[in-house]
Amino acid sequence: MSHIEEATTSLTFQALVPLVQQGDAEALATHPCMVLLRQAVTLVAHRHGGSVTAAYTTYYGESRQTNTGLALQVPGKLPRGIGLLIDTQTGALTFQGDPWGHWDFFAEVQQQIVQTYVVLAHAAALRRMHAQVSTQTLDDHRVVITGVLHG
Amino acid sequence: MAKHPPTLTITVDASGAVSTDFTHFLGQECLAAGQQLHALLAEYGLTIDVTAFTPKPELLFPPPSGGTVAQEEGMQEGDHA
Repeated sequence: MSHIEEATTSLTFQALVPLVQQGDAEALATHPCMVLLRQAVTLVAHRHGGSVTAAYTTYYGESRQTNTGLALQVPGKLPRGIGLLIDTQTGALTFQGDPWGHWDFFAEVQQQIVQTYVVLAHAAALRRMHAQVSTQTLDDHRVVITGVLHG
Repeated sequence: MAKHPPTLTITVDASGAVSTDFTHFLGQECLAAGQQLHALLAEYGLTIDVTAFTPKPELLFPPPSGGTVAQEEGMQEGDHA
């Protein structure tokens, strides 16, 4: 039989909470979730000519380190950057920064990071199911992942 | 007819919502594949909340041979269950 599922997704990194709380940067950086999250941020940064850093700048001009070691800056479009943080109570992924003057792009980048993470996670999961995986980005920005199972 | 390998086609929209089309599975295998996929995604912190499940016709009207999924070609998504 075959079927179609439609679903919403949510991201919660509970496995990362103890690593963040302990400040274990090496274990955090090599955790599979963080590896995918860094890939997602890097892909979005490259798409906009930006760069991945470890800090963002507040409205008051103060540099703030993120507990994930991940932030994204895009010259001209997101000059103060946007930081990715893990809520140390819930494990939820949160975004912080000063969006003043760049509201739309600030929101768009968050959405793109989440969408890219969802794509990367599906591709990784399918490979662990021994699927041959391919992806295609459509004109309307949806991404299609195909996983062909063998044996 | 050549046998098609089981295939998952997943469409991710801008909000991160997904539509997963399971094709060329036999029997209950698509359900097991879906459960395996969800479990693996959970390891990556991704929770899947299924909002609609649409069985294809061969689920409701399996072929007499109990066999294949050739009937699913060209099938359209119906009303959500």
